[in-house]
Amino acid sequence: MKKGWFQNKNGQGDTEQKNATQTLAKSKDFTKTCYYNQKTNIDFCLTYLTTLVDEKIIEQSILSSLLAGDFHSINDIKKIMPLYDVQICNDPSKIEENLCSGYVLLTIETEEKNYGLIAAKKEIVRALSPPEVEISVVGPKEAFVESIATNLNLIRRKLPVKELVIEEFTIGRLSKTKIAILHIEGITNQENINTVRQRLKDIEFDDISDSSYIVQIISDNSNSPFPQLLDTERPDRVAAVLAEGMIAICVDGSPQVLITPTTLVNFFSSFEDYYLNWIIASFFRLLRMFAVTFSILITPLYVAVLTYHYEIIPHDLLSTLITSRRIVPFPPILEAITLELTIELLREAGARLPTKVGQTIGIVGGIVIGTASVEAGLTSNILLILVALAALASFTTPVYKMSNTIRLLRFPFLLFAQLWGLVGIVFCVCIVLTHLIRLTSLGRPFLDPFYPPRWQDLKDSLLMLPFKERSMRPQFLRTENPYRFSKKKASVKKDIDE
Amino acid sequence: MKSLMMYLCILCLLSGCVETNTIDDINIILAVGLDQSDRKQMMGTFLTDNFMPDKSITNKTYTSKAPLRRDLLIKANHQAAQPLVTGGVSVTVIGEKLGKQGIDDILDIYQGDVTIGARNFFAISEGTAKKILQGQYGPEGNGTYLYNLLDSKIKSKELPETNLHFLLRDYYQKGKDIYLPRLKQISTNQIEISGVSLFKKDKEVDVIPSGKLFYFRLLVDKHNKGFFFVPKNKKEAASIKGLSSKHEFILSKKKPSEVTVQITIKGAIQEYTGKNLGVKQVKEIQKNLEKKVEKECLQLVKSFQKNDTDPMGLGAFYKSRNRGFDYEKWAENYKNLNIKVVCRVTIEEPLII
Repeated sequence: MKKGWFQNKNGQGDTEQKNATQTLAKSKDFTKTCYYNQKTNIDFCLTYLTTLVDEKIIEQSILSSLLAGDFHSINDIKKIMPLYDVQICNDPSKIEENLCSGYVLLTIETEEKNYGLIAAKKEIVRALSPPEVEISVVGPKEAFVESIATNLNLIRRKLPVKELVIEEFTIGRLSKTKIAILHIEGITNQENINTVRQRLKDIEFDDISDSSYIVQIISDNSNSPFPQLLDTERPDRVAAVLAEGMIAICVDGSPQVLITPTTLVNFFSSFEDYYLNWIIASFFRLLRMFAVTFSILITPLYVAVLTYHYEIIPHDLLSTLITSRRIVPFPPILEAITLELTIELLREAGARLPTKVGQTIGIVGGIVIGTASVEAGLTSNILLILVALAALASFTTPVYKMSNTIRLLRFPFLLFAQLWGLVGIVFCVCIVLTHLIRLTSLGRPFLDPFYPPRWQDLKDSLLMLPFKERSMRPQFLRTENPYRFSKKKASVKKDIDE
Repeated sequence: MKSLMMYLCILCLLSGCVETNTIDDINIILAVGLDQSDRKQMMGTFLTDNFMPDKSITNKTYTSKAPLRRDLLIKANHQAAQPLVTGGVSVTVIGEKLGKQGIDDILDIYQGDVTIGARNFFAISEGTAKKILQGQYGPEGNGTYLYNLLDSKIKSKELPETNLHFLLRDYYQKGKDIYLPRLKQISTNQIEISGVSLFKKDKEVDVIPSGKLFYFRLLVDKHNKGFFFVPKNKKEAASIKGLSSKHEFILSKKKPSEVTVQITIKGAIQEYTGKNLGVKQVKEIQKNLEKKVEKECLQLVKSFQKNDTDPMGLGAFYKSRNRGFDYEKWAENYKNLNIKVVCRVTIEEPLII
């Protein structure tokens, strides 16, 4: 190589640039091969990273056209190359970036300023699969994959309108992760989009591997145990919330798309609700809210009542409770914490172990440990039932991150139940409530529609009213067009002969 | 952050002073019996349940004697392995002797103890209260048995509504006297409700036997249910199920010393031994019943007046209708008050089962 590894005299003064290129040349997969076109008498070289490019494209499309084609200068390649992404460049600073993302660099001995960049990316894409976390019986069975192009395609197909705007940029100093912000022009509040854009652009982090990184970085309050951005793997959910006026963030390499701004009730509504009759969906939602409250409060209540407030136990229950605790040598709090920790251990072990072993762990843990500890007199069987029910109830939350929060919340409640009894529980509820009231998602109230009270938003929160009642978009989003459809027209049901 | 940590430390370290009452480390008193043992001393019987590992329940009573009511519990505590606590008390039985001497002091301690709920039932015993609590009534334990006995009778409207809440309300209301159900031990494992004790202020003055309870309830309770038997003539008789009833006091405007108790009963004929049950017969039964109720109730009212007790709350009613009402004058005149009882019976469809 007499003129450096590529013909670039402009870059001579830029030592850093040179060092970088030398670093690239150190890699094993860095390849530079020179060829000769006999027809036009031209020497040319191809430079690429073998790990990133698809050799078939190089062989079949690039080389065949370059060796046999009518090829005199760089400018000719657009004519002869049967590929869609062919660029002609004269800016050397772009070279490494493009090489690292799977381009092939074409240089000609005679031409020093210009060079060609030809895309020959090796695309390794997982096929679409049914959702694994947000499973639904009814409704579409496709879930997002790791490729952002596929994900955007899935969303675009659901919203084939010109108003759907996709903004894309790259973040992460090392990972160069592609991020796309999606919104619908004319519906989504411009202020929200600006905030999201600003926050994403301000991210200073080297390696963004997944959308969950972004959740943690751009949340309004990163010290909150509550997730403030909803992540979903369902394209139908993303399309639906975009239509409501929310914003979606796609991250390359992540099968989860983020939705923002959100409210607490979003985390308790499964998207399957919308595919069911409103009466049934409302019932499920109420059931879920009950399950969550039950899951957080039941063991603390047990501890508080058994330690401090024996007065409120009904007479008929008294004998059951006392007999079950008769041979237990520990105070209720130790009993409760031990059992809760056991359940947490089971869950954690089940999650870390390979699937097949994990299932056995659940059975072993649930049956063997539970029964054995009751028989050994270490725990009372009533508490065992309560803890198991609480664990079961916490699984009803449709969003995984929220169910983690609920797992965690129980422990401070337990502690305060032991310290002050029911007063302690009330104290804890107050703290959590205050925190939730203060919490915002993208500056919008997180506890909407309860605080601030918004009647309109209540129609799709704890209960889900029928479609014709939901003619307005959520108020807390402050959408540019608050009406989804005209309620008057929708309520008219015309027969075919009218 | 520093101050937050400090507050957390204070919270955790200084809050150990709250007294815990873990349910398996206490003896929960379910029923209390109070008796007069001799002139100065009282005898307290505290009933707790022992929950056996095989889920059966055995009764255990602690008895102590002391001149003050508070001391009873403290002395009984000396006998118990685990502290006796009052938060579970649901039945209080007062001995006959003590009832006649006055229960004012007892009500006072019940008012002062916050752990005792307002749904605590009070009863007077025939004989000593200790004997009643020491029986063996059912597998659920004596405390629960007595509670269920009183609770079910009140819910089925066979007893007038009484509990600590109503008792205190009536006791402190001027112009109304209290009444309590009576418990009678038939044998060591049988107990029954034998009637209602009437009080003048805090002393027992009269007893209404269980046979007349229905008429008593018509006078004091707002809603009533129950069966009553109406003989028509020698051969025919009818059983009537009271569906609902209410009473009203009507004050005569011209004569202030005259008051009418108007009782309205709605009932249904459940059983009839005669041949025909037509409109005529129904009317006859209706009239017979009216007469019977009027007669029985008037008798009761007369006995109230004789004993100078006012369980119907006529004094309170008079007070609500008269400006410048004078209780002392009222108490003097109560015996001479002209009280009339008028009953009106409506029989809904006959023979509905």
